[in-house]
Amino acid sequence: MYKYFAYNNLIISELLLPLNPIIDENYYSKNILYINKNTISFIYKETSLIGTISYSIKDQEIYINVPNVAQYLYNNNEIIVDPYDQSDIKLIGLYLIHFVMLFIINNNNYLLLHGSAVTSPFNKEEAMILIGNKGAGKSTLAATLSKHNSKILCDDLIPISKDGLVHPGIPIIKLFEDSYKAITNNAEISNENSDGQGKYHLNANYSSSAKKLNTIIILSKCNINDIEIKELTGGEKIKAIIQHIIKIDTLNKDSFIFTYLMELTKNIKVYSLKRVDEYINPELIIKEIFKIYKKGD
Amino acid sequence: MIKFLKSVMISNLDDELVLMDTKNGHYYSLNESASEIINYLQDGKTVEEVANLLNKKYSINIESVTNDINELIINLKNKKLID
Repeated sequence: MYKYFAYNNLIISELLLPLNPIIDENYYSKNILYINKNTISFIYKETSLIGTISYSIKDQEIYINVPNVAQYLYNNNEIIVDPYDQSDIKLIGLYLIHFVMLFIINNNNYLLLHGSAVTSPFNKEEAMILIGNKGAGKSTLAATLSKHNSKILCDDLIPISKDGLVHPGIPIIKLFEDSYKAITNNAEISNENSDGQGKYHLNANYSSSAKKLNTIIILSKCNINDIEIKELTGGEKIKAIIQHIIKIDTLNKDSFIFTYLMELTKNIKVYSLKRVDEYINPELIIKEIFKIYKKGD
Repeated sequence: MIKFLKSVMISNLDDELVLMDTKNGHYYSLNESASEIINYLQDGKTVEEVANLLNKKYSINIESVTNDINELIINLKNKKLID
């Protein structure tokens, strides 16, 4: 058994997790969470949560299914993990810590956004978040920014705490083959870096410490000639961001999200970046983003 | 005086009022002008008083601003955000 401390819980786990282990044998906490490996047969209707990840709730049990990684079932003070065949042990732990546990134990202290987060190319202590619908180019842009002084904080799931810090989440950028090849100057793709769903894991620089949120950019494709950037204010900010919050209805209260969002957005810049609905070199988009920062100087 | 229902959460952001109806999770935002009107009405001023105030402050036609205020109130009532 491995022992860890996270989210105010002593974690006693059968699985090796990406956390610093507790060495002290006498370590005590009144909140104990057990993590055990077992077979899960939870057969209630699943609701889509984000991408292919889905969840289901019945009585006190919460089930989360991360295809190709693992199924997770929470009940009382235990999370049962049922890995898929040949899934990556590192990913099983990352999803458990940065996703499943965030919802189950700590859903009132973090807001989860769907997007990509990087450190700012102009200030390594600040974070920039890219959000947008599927295919908007979030991961591709994050990967491109990683070639311009930024480090990746997380991809897909972005945990933000109440103090406005963007925390390192699942630090794996997944790209479609064409983007992967464009970013890596035609590096060979292989089964080793495939996620099994048509995307490939990129080897990029990652940040392991939380950064203060400074900017959110909302990406979209539309029928325009080129690239348009507009700063959003007031209700526009909120309406644009709210669509990209990941929530489990019965766990995340709307009132919590409202209060949280209002506080969070008071001190950050939010931009809408629209671009033509066809391939556009991400370097050109980066140039436009850099102009925003220069204006702000 | 207008009063938002208890189920409505209100916050100021960049000089705008942002509202959320906790009964259905719907969000609404009021632009700077509408927010100013609401702030006066919440302070207990009547429609007439607010119209006069805005007339003096921005030289807006009283009749037109009175219509705008009444329309705003009707909108908020229709959305079940105020009594």
